[in-house]
Amino acid sequence: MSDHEPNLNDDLQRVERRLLGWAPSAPNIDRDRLIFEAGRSSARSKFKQAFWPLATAAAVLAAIGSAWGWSREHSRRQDLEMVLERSRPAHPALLAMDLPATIAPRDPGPIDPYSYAALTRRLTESGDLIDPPTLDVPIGRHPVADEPIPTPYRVRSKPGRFDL
Amino acid sequence: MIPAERLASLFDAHSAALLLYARQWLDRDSAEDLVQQAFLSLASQVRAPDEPLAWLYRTVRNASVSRIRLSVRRRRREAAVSRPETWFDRLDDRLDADRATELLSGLPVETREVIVARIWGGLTFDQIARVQGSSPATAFRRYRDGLATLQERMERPCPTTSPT
Repeated sequence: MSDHEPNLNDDLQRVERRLLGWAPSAPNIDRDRLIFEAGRSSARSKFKQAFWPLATAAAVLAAIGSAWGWSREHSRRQDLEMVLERSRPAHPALLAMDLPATIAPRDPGPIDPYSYAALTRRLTESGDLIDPPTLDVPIGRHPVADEPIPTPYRVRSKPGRFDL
Repeated sequence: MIPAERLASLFDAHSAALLLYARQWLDRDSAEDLVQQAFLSLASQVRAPDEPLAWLYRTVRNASVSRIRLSVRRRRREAAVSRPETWFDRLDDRLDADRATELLSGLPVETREVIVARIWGGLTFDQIARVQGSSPATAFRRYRDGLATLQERMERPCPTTSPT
């Protein structure tokens, strides 16, 4: 007790020594029980201390294992699919059909010169529609049917109220 | 973790002084309860403190102060402390236990605290200052003033006790 008492005079040192002779009352605490409880508390503390690191390590290991297992399973499935794809025979119905090696393009047939597509192509290629298409039917005849051409309606030919 | 043998030796050497220290704020039962809790808390520390004794004093002090703050019966408890049971078992032949308790309890609590921690706890002024949250110089000044007050009161004739 001499770390910081340069100014303690003799009288106070005497008081200090006298006080040191006084013995404080001992607590009514069961010492053995306290030590036992302290051991239990210490064990619980150790368990608590070790629990979270162990749990974290276990979770990390489980995650790594799952990832490795998934990756392995995935690659095995891919390999299996490739093997099956190579070894699979063609379907019998497809084999029975006598299919040409290449499919020829279908002939679209004659194009109607008055169709929208034909007129559009003509307009974009030549720039005008001056040269009318040659018609294979005479003007005044309906190009598609042999129906009689209807007589034009003339006002004067009608007697009655329109007869001017 | 602090070994059980070390804990037992700390208890044997310092439990009475710690009880006296706690009784600066609390009644005997609460003080005993708190000292026991402090030892159990020390045992459950994952890393043993560098200065277990100072740690115990600080723990007891903090718990005592917070218990007093939380208690709705603060005034009653303080009154009980101000009229304490005897704090000492053994004294010198010039003083009885009641008178010694009265002398010590008549000091301001900060002064009492320093004297108990220094005389019976054996703490250095640096440790006391850390426990109290003050400077070592302040702790020493309180100690010196407390000793001087005690000296003066011990040399004063004992007041006559009123017959009851």
